[in-house]
Amino acid sequence: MPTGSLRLWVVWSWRDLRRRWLLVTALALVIALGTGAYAGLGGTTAWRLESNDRSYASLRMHDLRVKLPAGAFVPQGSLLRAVEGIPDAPVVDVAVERLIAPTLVDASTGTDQLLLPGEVVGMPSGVSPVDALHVEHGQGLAAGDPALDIAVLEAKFASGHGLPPNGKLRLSTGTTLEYVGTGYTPEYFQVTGRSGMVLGETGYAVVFAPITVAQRVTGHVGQVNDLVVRVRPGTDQEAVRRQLTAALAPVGGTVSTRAEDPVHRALYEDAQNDQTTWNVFAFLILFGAAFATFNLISRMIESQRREIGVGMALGVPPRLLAVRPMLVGVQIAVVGVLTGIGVGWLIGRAMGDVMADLLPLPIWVTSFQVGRFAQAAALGLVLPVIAAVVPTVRAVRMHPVEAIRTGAYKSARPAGRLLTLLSRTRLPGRTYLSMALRNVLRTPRRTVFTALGIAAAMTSLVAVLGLLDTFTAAGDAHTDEVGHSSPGRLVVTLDTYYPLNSAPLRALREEPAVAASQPQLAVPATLLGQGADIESVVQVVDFTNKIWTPTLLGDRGPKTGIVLSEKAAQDLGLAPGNVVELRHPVRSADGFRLVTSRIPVRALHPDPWRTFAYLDVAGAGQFGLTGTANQVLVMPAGSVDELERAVFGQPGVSSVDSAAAFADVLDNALAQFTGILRVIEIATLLLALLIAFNTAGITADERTREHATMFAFGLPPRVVMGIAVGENAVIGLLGTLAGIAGGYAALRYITSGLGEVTPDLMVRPTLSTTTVVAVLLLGTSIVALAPLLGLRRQQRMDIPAALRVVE
Amino acid sequence: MDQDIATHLRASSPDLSTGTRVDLDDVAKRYVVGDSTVTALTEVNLHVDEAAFVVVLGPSGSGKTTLLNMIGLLDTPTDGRVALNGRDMTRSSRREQFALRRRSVSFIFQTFNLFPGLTALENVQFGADVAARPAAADIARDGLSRVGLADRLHHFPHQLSGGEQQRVAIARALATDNPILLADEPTGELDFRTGVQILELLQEQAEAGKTVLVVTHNRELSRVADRVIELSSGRIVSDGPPVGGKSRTADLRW
Repeated sequence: MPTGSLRLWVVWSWRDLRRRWLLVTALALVIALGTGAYAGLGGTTAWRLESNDRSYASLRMHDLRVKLPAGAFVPQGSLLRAVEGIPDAPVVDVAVERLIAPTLVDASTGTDQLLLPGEVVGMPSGVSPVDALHVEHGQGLAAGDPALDIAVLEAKFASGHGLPPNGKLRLSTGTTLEYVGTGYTPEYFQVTGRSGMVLGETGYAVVFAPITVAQRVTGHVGQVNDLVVRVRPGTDQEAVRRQLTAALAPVGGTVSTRAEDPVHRALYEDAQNDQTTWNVFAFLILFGAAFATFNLISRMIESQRREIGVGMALGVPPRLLAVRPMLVGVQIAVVGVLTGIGVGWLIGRAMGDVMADLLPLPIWVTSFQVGRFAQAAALGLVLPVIAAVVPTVRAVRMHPVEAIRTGAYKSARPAGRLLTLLSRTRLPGRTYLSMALRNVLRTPRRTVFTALGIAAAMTSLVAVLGLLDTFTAAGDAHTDEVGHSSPGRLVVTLDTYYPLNSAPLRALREEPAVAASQPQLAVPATLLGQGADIESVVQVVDFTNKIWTPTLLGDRGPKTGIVLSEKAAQDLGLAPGNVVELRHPVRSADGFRLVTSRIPVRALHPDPWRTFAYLDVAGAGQFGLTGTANQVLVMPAGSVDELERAVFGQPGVSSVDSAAAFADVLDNALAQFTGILRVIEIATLLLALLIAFNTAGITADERTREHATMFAFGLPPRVVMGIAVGENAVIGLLGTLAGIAGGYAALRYITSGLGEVTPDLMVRPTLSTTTVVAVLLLGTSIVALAPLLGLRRQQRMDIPAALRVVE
Repeated sequence: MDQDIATHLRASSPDLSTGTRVDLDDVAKRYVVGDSTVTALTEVNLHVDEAAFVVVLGPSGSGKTTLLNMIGLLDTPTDGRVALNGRDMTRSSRREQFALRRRSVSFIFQTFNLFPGLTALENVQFGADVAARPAAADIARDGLSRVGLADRLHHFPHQLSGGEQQRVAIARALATDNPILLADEPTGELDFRTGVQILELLQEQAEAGKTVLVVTHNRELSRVADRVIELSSGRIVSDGPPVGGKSRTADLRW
């Protein structure tokens, strides 16, 4: 090709770009959004893992941790001596004893009552060599003044309740602590609380204090129950673990590795598992953008077909004729990719900001994922060019006469059968009112492609909202179950197992603020399955009590059998009447020992949380705890606040929770999760709007002469605009309906993979009516109203010029 | 809903008397193109008092289409006055212009400008619908029969020949029943035989009491007109009956 000729075509293409800059920019934005979302959403694992690594390293997370059973304490120094006594003691770099004791925390400010369960973490003053404290606001635990009752309050709890960086806390032991700052240690990057659920921080107050202070305020002077250890790099940690387990067997200590820390595991697993979900959205948005790009670029190039026909008639070689339309694709690709890098960076930043808000890691890095962006850039470059190839080839292969022929009838002819159907179908009403539907039907390929682009964007939106609906439904199911009778009841947790006629239980029974009470047991246990053990809390409940009992589904097993959640039964492949293996503690003369029992499954319960299991009180013997209780269900005689105040400080009471507290935790978690989904929601809505805007813009171009003809016949502009809105509304409706169907399918796919992300929760893909109606209205109206953006252009139309427009 | 819109269209039309009278007084139209000004019409005075078949002749660029656009209120003059049925429309509102187009003038375009999404019947019905005429479908069917397309009712424009499309366009214009019919090169894209048929149709309209204004560069067409106005460089250079008297369409040759 002569250079001069090429220059002409490039210049011509540049003029095309200037003429269509708005459309090209809007199309490039579609590409940018698609590729940007692909890069931004698709690359979260790398930076999340990097953030985790650096955060844990900065606070010197332990390699091994020793925990004594609940309620067991040993004299300070005895755990360290046990470490020193193991054969591998020389490889232990540093070991630190701690005291972690449950308590009730009164963080009330002014008129707001804030009485919540929590724990005091006694740790070294100053900078701990293991599991150091990261101070978010205020001061840390200054070394050298252990006499002062100072503490640091867990940061998310403080920020969640809007507490200042310093203030006073009262514990249920009657002590007042001055907290001088807010912060957290590595085990509390996420606070699970007693719920065992991540993001439960606002319902659980963790107080970090110098160990001597912690011992004093919890009444465990000179005692510890926790040890954290760092070993030298390259050490066989399993060997050290075995030696420590053996050394601590007499006191029942369990040894866990860093990887077994639930928060550590959750952070690393989430970084991987969440990516699966983000990938779905990334691909959906990219898919939508790809469809839109194909469709819109095709239409742009089709509008040049007459000029291509003229070129062919003049004998210009087809390959040269192809240059100009192909350059349209290249222009869009280049602008799209350049913008896409920015959009991807923005999405990555937005995700990073939301994650940083959600998970208070000391170090967050949202580094630019070069590889992922390179993939996205390659896609962004290739997509528009491929999209331009098909219509270009079609145009240059067309017979010149056909391409040159004037009139609006040579393109987008409907298929034969549809044509016949259309010609014979009489739509009621004025012709111009039915024109919207006619226009949609006579260009089925265009309609389908446009609707598919909208559908892909809507699919993402529906999947996002569906996820929220799904978790909301799970929360509602939990609330329904725990609240099906006496929803106002409270659960008072005691610090150990007390005989039923003991003073703490008597005090609670006789407390005037308590209308009714029912003692029960809550025993941690593990349901054993084929490679899928389930950590559980077995509640031993009197099934004849009047306050609350679980709903029994399929009550076919023996009355002494265990009641499992549907999810646990499903995961373990069990049904009522089967037998489950339960590893649980049994109280013996010198403490507790773990045993494995085979217990028949009596029934299932509908609570979506699989951690809850129930036994009738007759089954308390399984644990050697007959005639004892460590929890009391209480019905308040007056207000909940009064009852909380009344039992606060009573001996043996470690926490008072509303029965619905767990649902609140879920709601709170959901509210924070919403922040992440909001990023995707904005991206999808923006994509739908861009597709709609582009569609409306190109349609307006194509229909210019029709609109001018209508104006020439005196049809008012509002009616003409109404036709355009109607046409878009039909496409928007079709796309949105397809999007809702696609969104539900995507939701099913995503929820099928949630087993790894939230293994304890039964999630059933749920789309609420509100979501369906809202998406239907939103999707249809966004697309329908897009032509209004061209209102000004329509009002300024040069009718005579438009009537002469040939193409 | 459509009835509501039709009622609204009628109600929203200002009280414009309908008739066949067209008056252009000292009309000029100038366009600014880049740094230069192009004069399309200058000092045009044209008065059509009663129904007639008027042919506006002129070469390409003489201002014929601009003149038609002025009468059809698609364009506004730079100077002068355009009045329809005695009412000065030069400074009328956009709303009034739209309403007047619905009730007074109808267009026949050289390139037909049919709606590709509508069948022949629906395209014609569109005209009746816009004019808010009752029984629009019957009017359309009847109109297509009159132009010899009774057997092509359900064909889409791309399934019709050029002549058939132009006949549909004429039927659409007639379906409005507006008193002024404006045709821009109505035979420009047609073969002789079809062109003659179209001319006869237009003549019938004039005989039926409408003002039919046809612009063309084809001098032969002027032979069947009641009145021939010749334009050159935007000026009317002659205005009167055809030279040699009015001929029959059968005598035409081109």
